[in-house]
Amino acid sequence: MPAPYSKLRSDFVLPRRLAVLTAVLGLASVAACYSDSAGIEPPANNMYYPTGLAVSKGGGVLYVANSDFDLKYNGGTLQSYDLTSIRRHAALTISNPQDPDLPLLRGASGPCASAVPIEKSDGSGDRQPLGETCAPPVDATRYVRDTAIVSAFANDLAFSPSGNRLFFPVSGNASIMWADIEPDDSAQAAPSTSFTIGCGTRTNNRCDASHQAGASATEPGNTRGITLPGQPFGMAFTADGTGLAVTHQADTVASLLTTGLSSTGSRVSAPALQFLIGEVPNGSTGIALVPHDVDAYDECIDAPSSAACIATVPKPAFLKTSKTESTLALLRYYADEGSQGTSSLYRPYLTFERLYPVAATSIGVDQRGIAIDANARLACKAQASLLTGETRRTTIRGCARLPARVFIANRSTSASYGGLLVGEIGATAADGSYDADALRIVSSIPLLGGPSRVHLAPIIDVDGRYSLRVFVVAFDSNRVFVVNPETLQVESTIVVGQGPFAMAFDPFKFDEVARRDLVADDARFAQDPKVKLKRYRFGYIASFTKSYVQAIDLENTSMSPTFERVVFTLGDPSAAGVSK
Amino acid sequence: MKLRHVGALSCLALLGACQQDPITVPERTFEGADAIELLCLRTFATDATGKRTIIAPVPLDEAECSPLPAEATTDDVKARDARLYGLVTQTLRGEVAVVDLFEGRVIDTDSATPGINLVPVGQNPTGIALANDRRAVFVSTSEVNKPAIYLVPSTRLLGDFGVDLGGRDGAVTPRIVDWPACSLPQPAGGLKVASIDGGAGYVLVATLLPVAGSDAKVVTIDPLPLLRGAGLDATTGNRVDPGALVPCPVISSTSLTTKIPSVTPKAATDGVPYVTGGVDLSTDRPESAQSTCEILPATPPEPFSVRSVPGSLVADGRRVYVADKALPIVHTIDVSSDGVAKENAPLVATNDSGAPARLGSLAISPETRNFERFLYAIDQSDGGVFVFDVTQVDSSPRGPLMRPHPELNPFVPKDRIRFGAAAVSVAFARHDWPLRKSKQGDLSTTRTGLLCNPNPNAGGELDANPYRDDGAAYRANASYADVALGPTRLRGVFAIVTLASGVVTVLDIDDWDAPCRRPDPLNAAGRVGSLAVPEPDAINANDLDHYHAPIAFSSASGTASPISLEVTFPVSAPHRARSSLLLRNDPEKGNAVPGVVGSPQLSFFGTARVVVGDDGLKNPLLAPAGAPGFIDPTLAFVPLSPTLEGRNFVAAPKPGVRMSVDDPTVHVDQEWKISYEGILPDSNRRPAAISTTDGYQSLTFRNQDGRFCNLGVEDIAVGAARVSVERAAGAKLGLTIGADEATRVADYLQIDDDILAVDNPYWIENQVDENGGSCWDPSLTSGQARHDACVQAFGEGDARGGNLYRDLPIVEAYEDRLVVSRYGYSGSAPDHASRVVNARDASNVSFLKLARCCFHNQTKFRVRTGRRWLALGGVSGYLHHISRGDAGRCVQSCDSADVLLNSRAPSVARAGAAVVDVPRNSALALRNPFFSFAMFGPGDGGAAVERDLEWKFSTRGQFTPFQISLRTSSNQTEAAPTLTKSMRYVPALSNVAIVDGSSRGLTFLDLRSLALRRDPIY
Repeated sequence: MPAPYSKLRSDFVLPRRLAVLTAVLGLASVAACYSDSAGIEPPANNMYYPTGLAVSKGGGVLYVANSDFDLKYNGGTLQSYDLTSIRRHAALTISNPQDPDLPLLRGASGPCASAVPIEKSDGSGDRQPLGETCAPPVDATRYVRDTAIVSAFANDLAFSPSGNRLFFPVSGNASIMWADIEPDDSAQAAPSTSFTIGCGTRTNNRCDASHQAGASATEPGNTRGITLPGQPFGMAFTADGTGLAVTHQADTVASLLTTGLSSTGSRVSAPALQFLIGEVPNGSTGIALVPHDVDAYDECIDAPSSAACIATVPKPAFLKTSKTESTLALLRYYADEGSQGTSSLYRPYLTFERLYPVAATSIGVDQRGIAIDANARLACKAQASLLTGETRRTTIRGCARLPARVFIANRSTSASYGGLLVGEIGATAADGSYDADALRIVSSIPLLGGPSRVHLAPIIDVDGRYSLRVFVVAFDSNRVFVVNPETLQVESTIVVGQGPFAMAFDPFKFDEVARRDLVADDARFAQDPKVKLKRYRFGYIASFTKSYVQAIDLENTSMSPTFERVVFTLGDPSAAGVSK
Repeated sequence: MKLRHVGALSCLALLGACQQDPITVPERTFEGADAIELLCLRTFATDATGKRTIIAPVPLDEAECSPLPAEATTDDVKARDARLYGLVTQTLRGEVAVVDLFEGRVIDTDSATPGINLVPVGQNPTGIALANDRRAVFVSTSEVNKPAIYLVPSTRLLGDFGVDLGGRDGAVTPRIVDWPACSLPQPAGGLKVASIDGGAGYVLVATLLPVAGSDAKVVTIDPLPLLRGAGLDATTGNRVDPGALVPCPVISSTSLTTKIPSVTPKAATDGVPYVTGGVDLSTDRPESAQSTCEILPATPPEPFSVRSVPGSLVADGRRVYVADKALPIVHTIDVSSDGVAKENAPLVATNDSGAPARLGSLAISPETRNFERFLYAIDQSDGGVFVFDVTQVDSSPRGPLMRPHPELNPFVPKDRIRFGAAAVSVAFARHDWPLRKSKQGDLSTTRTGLLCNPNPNAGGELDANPYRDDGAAYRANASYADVALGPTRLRGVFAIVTLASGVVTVLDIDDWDAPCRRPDPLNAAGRVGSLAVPEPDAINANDLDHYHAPIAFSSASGTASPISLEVTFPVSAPHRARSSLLLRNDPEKGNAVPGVVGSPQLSFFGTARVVVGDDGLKNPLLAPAGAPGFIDPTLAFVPLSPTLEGRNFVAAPKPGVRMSVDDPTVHVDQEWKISYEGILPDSNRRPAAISTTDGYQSLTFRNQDGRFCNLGVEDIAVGAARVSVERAAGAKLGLTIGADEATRVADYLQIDDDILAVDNPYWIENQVDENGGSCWDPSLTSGQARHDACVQAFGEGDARGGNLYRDLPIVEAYEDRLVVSRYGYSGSAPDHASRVVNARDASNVSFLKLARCCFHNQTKFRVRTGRRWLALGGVSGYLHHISRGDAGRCVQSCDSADVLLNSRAPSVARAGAAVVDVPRNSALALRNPFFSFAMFGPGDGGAAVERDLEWKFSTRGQFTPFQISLRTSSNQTEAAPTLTKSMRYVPALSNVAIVDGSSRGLTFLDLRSLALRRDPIY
């Protein structure tokens, strides 16, 4: 039974600042205490403790999940922003931070906005990079296209692989909220329908109850009559997008939902909670799908759809991190779709199959975000595809059996330090057998405090091609670390706004990155006289504490001084009502 | 650039600043510390009157910073004109910290700026190297778009430090624009200095990391232009002036090889130096069904697309070794030809652990007494350490040294050293407690490098004459050494390894006390283990050989034993973890010898069973399986008596097991359960789909993620082979094995699911199988009938296996499936003891059809060991050597290293209370790496034994390697994270400097006390 909102407000007055400090370390540890029936509506045109970012399939829309973390309002929001305009203005800012097209918030009042230094003050003659001091904030309200009120304490935001359905776990009412989105096309400006957040018929601009999977034991498709445990946090989809595994921060349970999407991505039903598995390690945060490459199996190389192949390839598996235990858990997904009949036997479920020790570091106990990089396999297979005959088969098989790199953000007992654990998953044993789920943590990279999330995304290299990097968001130290996954070296340390948490990138495809394709120009700006942009260029990082979003330049084609620096600030970091 | 450790302060402020007592938060300067160099600088001059003045720093040879005694006072330190400095790169700050290693503090190079200021270099410093003449320090960086090499003059490293002491010439704040720097075409991976011209000159050797379109390279760079730019070389020629980031003067640039040559590994020495070629244990192995084992396929080679990624570097004169983080090789680079880099055949890491190695930290040892040198390379993939013999690298084997006698400890790979946690960094130290006095009194000069000599011919404590070999002064019963013989006395060459868990451990490489760490006698009468081969007798009275002393104790020359009286040999073996304890049963200091605690207990579901007296004959007996020719040192009543006779051995207890002391490192403290037809661990965690391929003559339980071979499942073929060798072993002992035993020994699957409730819609579904038919009998038309038939046939799930029809014998085991048949019972009621395995035939059809239907085509199950006892260790688990063979069939591995991975034992016949002596290598015994036993009766061995009847006992005396934690110290209130990045032995301090990339900064392990020397510096 949710507590009355008035009661909660008084509870939250005193600890607010402390809560902000500890926010996102264990976000929303006040689960199931949110009422959406009364109170002040959240701002429609501004961010408020953003915790989720997602970019549309075509790159024209930026979606932001706002958590209303201090319960100032009667809910959080899900917003859509015009990313085409944001990208254009970011490019203009790089050229001239005082460009008259920019909707600067404070005109010439800021030191950088009024007098952007051309050169560094150290006499070196180097150009003064933009970034944390010289990316004047712009008026975020100018870019907002739609805002829907949702439950408080959203923890994440992610598109289904098909790009037509958004999911975000919320602690406010312990559910996985979702919205249907019309995908846009990278070749043209996003249509208005792509900005529309499809979360049912809104009352007082609030998404309807049917878009809260797991909140009700009687929701359609929930055949086990169960409800989602508290504090849902991390999400990971199956490769075909039909299943969704969810972690819970303060429970020894993981959840499984069906997304309501077919394996081709079409919408067939509403998402529904399917299964809860208990006795998994407590303090669950991150979760990632283990990449299983069918080409690792002889039965599949030439016949990936054959029954023999299907009977050989491992069932989908998820790797789950833990805040409280120095272990990683492997959860196996059994779709178990009712091919045998209609009884209640045939329903999706998870099994808790393996537990891996995290012994590579003395700080392994507090793991957060996780990302798994199968780029090496894809790159290898791209080369092998040029071969012929048996050589091609064996080489492709060898490529597919290359270990995938596992990256895990690792906090520590010390607030000042953290690290990035590096592992490998998938191994060929001494007896020649291949185990796609064999995991070893092999090393760790020291970082500054508070690593929380890990993202795999490319930069544009000096030759104009994609090149993969690992982006580690560190909440406590206000930094994003860029790690080269091949050399395992920290390439850059980007200072960003206070309390960074959610991050997203312009759209890209991993196979393009693996092939190191040239990054194409963005056709939407082909006729723009002031801006020339590639289809992929920016990463976006949300400041949880200050409620704004920054854009990071990821293009190094011309060895620009803005490369891997903040170049754009969407929203006002000093806006009233934002926690300091 | 300043960084304050403000996090804690911020927290306090937010909490209302209510604290009464201020908390001092140490100021931190280290951020991402990585590599370390050592530099001796004279910073004071003392004139004839004793007056000291601060001077411009003068770089000196490291040896000129004379050793600092452990007992040195602060005043002693301050009186030093020359001090040793550690130069530590800070990867997250782009700086180098200069640390006064004598005083233990970070030098502030800019007194005018608040805080502690370091020496700025480019972003992401990746390597640091000191010039041969020590006048310059070079730093490589991998700054985005600006990778470079910076030269910092040694005289500028201290900045204006010391200005408060009256100032000194040239004391100015270090600035990055003052350093000559040259640009690199790719990010630098590391940097070393290599000698050329016979050591008269040097070049810089840098590795370049792969980038878009460019593979990894090694480049050699002429340092002269940089030195000229810094004003450190007066010759004419190209200059790299400060502030001008011009391309580096590259002498040569070579792409690193990606070819992996095949290698033939060689075994390391086993620590028994008096046995030429090492001890041969090929006949000291359990009898096994070798004919059924399979040669396993080799691991396929890596695909072509893997690029080299250079990692750690070590320099050795004109040669540089480069670890590869992507390929299992160590590149060997020779620059002797005018500084041009030439890559020779690489050292190749093997993959006994099953995954290709990815090499991290490297270290090269000093010479041992045998003039050997070793390169250690950490495998980042599994945290093990490869050992390469680089004594004569051009002619040495290119593969790693193999661990000798791997079967004695099969829990670690053969080709590397492995620890309790992953190794992350390694360094070597040659350390000694020099001999300052001997029997003839104080020595005029201290002597170092002496091998402890237990040979009575060398003289004894009661002899009036001086020792004939001063190595005798290091004996256990001598009083001349500063520290007594034992684990904490480090004399020799040792490897210091930090582990990911935050502890430091020590490996013996060349322990000069090794001849005195042993049992006594070391002859045929007192042999304790496989490697404790009798030492040869001394040839004559002049034979002083350290290993020609089968009996070390001589009452004529002493009253106490001259050796350590440990229960195994060798105690100290090359490339093996060093024990923190004397491996002996010491009445005063504790028992470090492996043994059983108390007496094994027999019980049945918690109810104790009698094992002695007449009633005990009704139950099985657990008895030690002997090791003929060996004594059991655990049975010594007076374990520290200097003579064998004085130890007063007692009889072996029954029930009990015979502990093995062949390899002390294998032992761990754990609880043991030996249960009849026990459950294979983890066998019941996965569901399996049920199908048939032969019209229900058998059922297939399939789970593609089952990994049943890995679980150690043995089908009836493996069982029959097991029975065959047991029968032969029984014949040797006069025992007969039942004729039908081969049809009875197989693991069986025990269905675990409940029968579904009668109202489940499943009962009325039409089940169509792969043949288009149904598993339901046509007579079962209603759901109720089907349900009732299933309940009648299989009952409900019961952990005690109440319904034997749920047991399905495994006729074929594969990695992804188990093919089962059914048991045939001779009587009307199913009988567990007498049942036999039915072959796949038509008589199985109706039963297996029903089994499939009743358990809805998919069920969970467990696997039990049919007619065999199963020994499970609480830590070591279920030991087996079942591997995936041809077509995925589960077969026994042929790997001789696996021969002690045994967990199954038969019941051996006995006649009443009399039991035969079963040798530990008999097929009727169970010998694993820890102990051996035979299980007798009840009755003739074929009598019924209750399933889950269980013996329990505990073993103690685990091997305890020397370990010390880096995670806590007096100035940190909580365990701090550690991520060791590099280490360096500092002879002047007898310390190992440990660089931590996380919170610990710079820590020192004192090899004299084997303790952390002081709080970390950060």
